[in-house]
Amino acid sequence: MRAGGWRWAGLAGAGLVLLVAAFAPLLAPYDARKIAGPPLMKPSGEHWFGTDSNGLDVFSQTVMATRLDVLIAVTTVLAATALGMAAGLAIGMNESGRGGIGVLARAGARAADFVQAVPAVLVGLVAVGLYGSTPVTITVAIVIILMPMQARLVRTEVLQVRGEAYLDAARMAGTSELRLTVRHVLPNVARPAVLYMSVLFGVSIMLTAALGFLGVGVAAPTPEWGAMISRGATDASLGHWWPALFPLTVLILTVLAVTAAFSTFQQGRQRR
Amino acid sequence: MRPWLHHNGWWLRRLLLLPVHLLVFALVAFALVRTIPGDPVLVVTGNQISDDQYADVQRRLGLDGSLAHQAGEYFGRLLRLDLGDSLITGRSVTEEFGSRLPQTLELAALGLSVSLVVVLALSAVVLLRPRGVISRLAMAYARSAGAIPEFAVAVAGIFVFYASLHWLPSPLGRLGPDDPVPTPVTRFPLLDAVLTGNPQVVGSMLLHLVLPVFAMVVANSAVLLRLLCSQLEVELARPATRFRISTGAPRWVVLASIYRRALPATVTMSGTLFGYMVGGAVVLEGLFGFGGMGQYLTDAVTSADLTALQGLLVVIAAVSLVVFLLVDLINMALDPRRRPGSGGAA
Amino acid sequence: MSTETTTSRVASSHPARRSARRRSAAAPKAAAPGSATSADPVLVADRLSVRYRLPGGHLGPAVVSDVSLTITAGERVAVVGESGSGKSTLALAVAGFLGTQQSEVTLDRLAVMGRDVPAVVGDRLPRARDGVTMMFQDAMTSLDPVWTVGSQLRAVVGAREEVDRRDRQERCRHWLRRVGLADTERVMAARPGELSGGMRQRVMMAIALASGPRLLIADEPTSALDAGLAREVMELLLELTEQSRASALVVTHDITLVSEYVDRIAVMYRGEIVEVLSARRLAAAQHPYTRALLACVPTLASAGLDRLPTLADFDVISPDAA
Repeated sequence: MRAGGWRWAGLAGAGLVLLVAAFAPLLAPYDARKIAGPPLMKPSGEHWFGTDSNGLDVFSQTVMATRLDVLIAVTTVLAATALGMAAGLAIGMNESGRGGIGVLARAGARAADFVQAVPAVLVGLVAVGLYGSTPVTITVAIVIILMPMQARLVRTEVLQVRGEAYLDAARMAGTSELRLTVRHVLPNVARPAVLYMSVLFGVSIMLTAALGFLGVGVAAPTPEWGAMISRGATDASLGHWWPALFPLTVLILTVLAVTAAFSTFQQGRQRR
Repeated sequence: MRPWLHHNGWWLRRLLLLPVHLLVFALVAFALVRTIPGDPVLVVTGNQISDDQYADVQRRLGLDGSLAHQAGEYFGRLLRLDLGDSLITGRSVTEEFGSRLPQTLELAALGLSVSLVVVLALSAVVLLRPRGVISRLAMAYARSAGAIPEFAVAVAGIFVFYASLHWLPSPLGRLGPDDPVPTPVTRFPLLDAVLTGNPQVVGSMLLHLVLPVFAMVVANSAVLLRLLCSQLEVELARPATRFRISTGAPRWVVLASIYRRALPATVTMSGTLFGYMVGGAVVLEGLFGFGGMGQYLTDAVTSADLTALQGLLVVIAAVSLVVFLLVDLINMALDPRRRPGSGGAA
Repeated sequence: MSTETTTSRVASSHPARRSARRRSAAAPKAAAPGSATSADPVLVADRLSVRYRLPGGHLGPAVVSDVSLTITAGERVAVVGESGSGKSTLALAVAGFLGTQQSEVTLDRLAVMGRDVPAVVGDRLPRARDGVTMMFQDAMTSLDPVWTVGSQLRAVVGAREEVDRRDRQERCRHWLRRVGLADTERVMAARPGELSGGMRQRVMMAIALASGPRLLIADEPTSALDAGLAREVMELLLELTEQSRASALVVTHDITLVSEYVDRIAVMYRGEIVEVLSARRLAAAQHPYTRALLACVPTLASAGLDRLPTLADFDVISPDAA
């Protein structure tokens, strides 16, 4: 029962997050980039989440930041999953092959394993340093970081499916290797990758926020959770908790909601 | 000699691959810097420079002459562990990293060690007392995996334990204002403090480390805990476990048997987590006023310090490769079937 | 005698049941009702029924229903039936591997060596049942793949009694020689994956016997082996059990093979023991299911037939449907 409640809360929460992201400009009572009142006002009827040290409305900023962070996360997760699946399929199907393709596939498998040990935040830092701190750079960098995670997962699944008799049967019937992969292997390996998207979502949100927190993320004054928390941290150490607490809470709840929502799919599919 | 080689070949071979891998990634770093949009020289300097200055900057960035010449210079210096001098600060990148990297790595290593201890302890409780209060709390926490960033915990921690309760020292460095700075021996701050042997300094440093390490542990242990518990569950249900129990093997032997089979996935994940923790340490250093890679890197990024960034790539690759190597070796030690040439599961 | 339900809730709120469990875990034999003597049967199962919990939390049908079985000291009994007949579940219940989470058990009595034992265990990590050792189908999965055979054997030798280190090594070698593995040093240094299937099966027997059981349960000990090896292993297993003065409970589908080596055969069908036969008088089988099982076995007489009959050829009427 309690697990069920958790899942439905997640589904509702994830829906809410998406709605907020979609309609952020309509929801924000103030311009998130302009001074809306005196600095460091406590939360009140006028400013629901208070104002920060620059006098910006924290609620409006949080709402607009949700739009940006969720947009980046959704884009990166979808792109990384699509690319990762393709790479994982290519590696898994060719890994035991002879010749150049086999060698390449094995090297790809090792590389995907290795990338797991690379500090993602530092990769993001280098990317921003080399190509500039635009949302596009950050999106591309995160896709590059996330893609091997999916590729690795899909590859493991492919290795399990690859020996199945129905594949040999299809080959005998003259199905081309590409068609075989798409029609017969992909449907069997896609499920774990789809479920894993919730993990990628969390990582993506964390990375965007971490870069923002370091001050090298999406350039100010565009509202972003990590940058807001970073500025709010200074206020928090002086006892003004609200500029940091609200974006922080929303960030955590967003990831939790998406994770819980995905566990609904997991349970729903298993029952069938 | 021959039998020794035969028994130890698995890790020796793995060790010998390290320089090869490093070379590949150095090449990647070399290539990446040459793919940035626009003229790197102008990116670094801005537009207003004379031709002489241009040639000078180009030479100092290692971008003069043919590509082969550039590569020769680059790898030649790399062999001497010379990552070049920063154009922005004028200081040697190798030296900067040499003094800063150990601080960051120590913080990350502390985070991972504490996290592993906590996760091992909690997983044992979940395994042995699945219905207890601790187990329920632990599993509820495990569900939050990946949802809590370390800087969130740290900011909340600073607000509660420093700003409100004053239980912990101010987040303004590794030591209090009156504490003597230990002489750098290894450049790992805590290790140096311990080596210096001044208990007051060690105590102060530990107190200053409580919050950042706590933040890293809270943020990262859930993933590890969830993974280990699910693996333990899988291994627990196996006939091999039941056979051990049924033959009356002592309880600790049964536990060791389950853990040894369940751990490899956790070890692999720890490698990933160490990477996250290095990133987390970089983020936290600014918040707690620690010297380390954090400030240096953000400066390098904002000022487009190409030499530093190129050096950073090589250093990231080196650190990651060593972690990757350790993960492989530990897993091969835990599960002999993973050793190359062992014939697999047969 | 009332039927006692040992679900997780009942088990934890029922003081008598709880104390019984604790007794079986650690307490000295004197504390048990009817202290164990050699005259006691090694196993008494009285009206044992098992249902598994389905994913939704509901109870499934009885996998084992109203089974009563007694094994006396030194006796060798086979439980024979098709897959799904409940024979493996019966073995798990006797060995103490049914958890409260997955199963519900009702029974009048379950006793090992004269002492009452719980039929379900509440711990996620079960404890050994005193005097009972269970071997599982496949030695490849039953042996721990990452530890050497030596370390697995050493962990068992002396687990139920004090043995000093040098003695322990010698006993390990002794047990390996007993199961016909002469090259003891090589086998002890090897991991299960490095041995052949037959050797693994022997190693598993060595470990099982080294644990000093009073009752050895073997779940399909030969199903992973080819016919020749199966015969060899079955013979060795029951011979060694007899030498150790232990009782044996062999769970198998192969009625003819096992009948050569055991004293009694209990035939299980749809969760019930439909007939218990003396192994030497299989021809006396009464129940149609037993007769059907026997008829499916190739003999010299069946050589003239076009094809062997299968169970589907017989109109077996299940007792509960009748």
